[in-house]
Amino acid sequence: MDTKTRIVTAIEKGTVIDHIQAGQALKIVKILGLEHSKKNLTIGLKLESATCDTKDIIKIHNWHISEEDSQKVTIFSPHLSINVIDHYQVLKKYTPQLPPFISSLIACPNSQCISNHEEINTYFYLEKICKDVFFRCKFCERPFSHHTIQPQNTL
Amino acid sequence: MMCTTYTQTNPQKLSSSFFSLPRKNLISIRDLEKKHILHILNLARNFKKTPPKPLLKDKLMGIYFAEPSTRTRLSFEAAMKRLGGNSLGISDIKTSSIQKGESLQDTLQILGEYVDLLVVRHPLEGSARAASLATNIPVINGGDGGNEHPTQTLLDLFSILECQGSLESISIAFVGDLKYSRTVHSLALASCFFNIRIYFISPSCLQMPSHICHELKRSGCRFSFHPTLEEIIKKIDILYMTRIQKERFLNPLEYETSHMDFSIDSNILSQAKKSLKILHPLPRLKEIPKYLDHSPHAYYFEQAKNGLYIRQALLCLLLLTPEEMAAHGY
Repeated sequence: MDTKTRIVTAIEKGTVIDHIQAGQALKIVKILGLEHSKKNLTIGLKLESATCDTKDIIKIHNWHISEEDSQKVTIFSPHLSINVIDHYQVLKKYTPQLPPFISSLIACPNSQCISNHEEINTYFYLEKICKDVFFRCKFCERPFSHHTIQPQNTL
Repeated sequence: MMCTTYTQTNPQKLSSSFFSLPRKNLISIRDLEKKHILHILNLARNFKKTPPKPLLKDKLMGIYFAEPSTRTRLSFEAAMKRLGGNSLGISDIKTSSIQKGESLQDTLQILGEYVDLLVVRHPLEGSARAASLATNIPVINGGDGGNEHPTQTLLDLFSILECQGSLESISIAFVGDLKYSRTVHSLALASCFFNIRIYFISPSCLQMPSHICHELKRSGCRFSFHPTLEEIIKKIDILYMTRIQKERFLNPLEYETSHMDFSIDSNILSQAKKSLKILHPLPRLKEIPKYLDHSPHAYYFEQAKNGLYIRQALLCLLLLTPEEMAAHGY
């Protein structure tokens, strides 16, 4: 008898965002605008992973992620993978490219940054240093890792 | 093996044609390349040697200072007036519409309609960059919170070049409040262009921010941390002293509990190179006692004076075309 079970069940059709860095899934849900939507979501947090210590996973039923949205989600987890599912099969699997800059999506974590005090669109430049990814605020010029950034509250 | 792979996408980087186009800004020392810095220093040297003609007659500079200032504001105003121009603006925000809740960007957009160039100082980081987005005229960052002070960096480099004869491969010790001192942040970043060896001496709670240190490391800059000045005094060419900036502490208790005694005296200086010069962005408190003002090492007042020439150079480069400068022999 097969006693193996999935912690997060498979979906028939939709999008699976896998290998999300542990702790980042809820930020991704927010930036995709899914927290207030009627779409069926399945979220797994801090799951064991063969490729990394722990991971998060999000499965969105009957929904396909756009290219623009796939770039947004990599901000919070640069090495995640996107799986397009149909009839329980993986039709396509890819890791989206990080965008060269991010505008208006994330807030600056620096409380002394002007962008937290004036009505200004935030803007961050991507910096890659070896395997680490940082986003440098255009205004206060500080670099932030994807661990520390948060979606803007307007989303 | 240290991985030095580094990529950056930054459309704000000025092109090599910076000085061929008026209406560019000076917001961050990162916006300049080494050749731009040397060009500014060279022009400043010309102005110090021979006072310039009224090159900016009929030009108007706008000042917006939301933080106290003596040297920066006055030297900008003196620079402008000695070039034949004039200035107006706000140096006390209690008298401005900021009190009515007007945003910084709205205020500067309006001020930008009246003048040819803006100099902005504000306690929030990134405020000068925000100002540059609010107006089409050139904006100079006169200091944005604890972030940067690029014109101070230029006059510091000018002073170092003047007293040491070169910027290449010298040694600088930064002492005091390295966490909140924007002048130190800017100068440390600029040091990377000239292979300058840096020594940091500060209380443990006021160390150079890690993001600056990471950037120095990526640029190949050599730096180290030391608990006392005595440890490295014999090695250095420039001693850059800073005031512990009480006004930057978000937590007043942190100011009270930090170790304040990072001052110098004649005993320490007796161990230094004869050619060592002391710089300080001023105002100073107890970190440099008054009796040292007449020491041959003291260079901070000459340093402050050099602010006039650097700011004259910047005003000309931002308000005049290369053709206009050439017509006057520059």
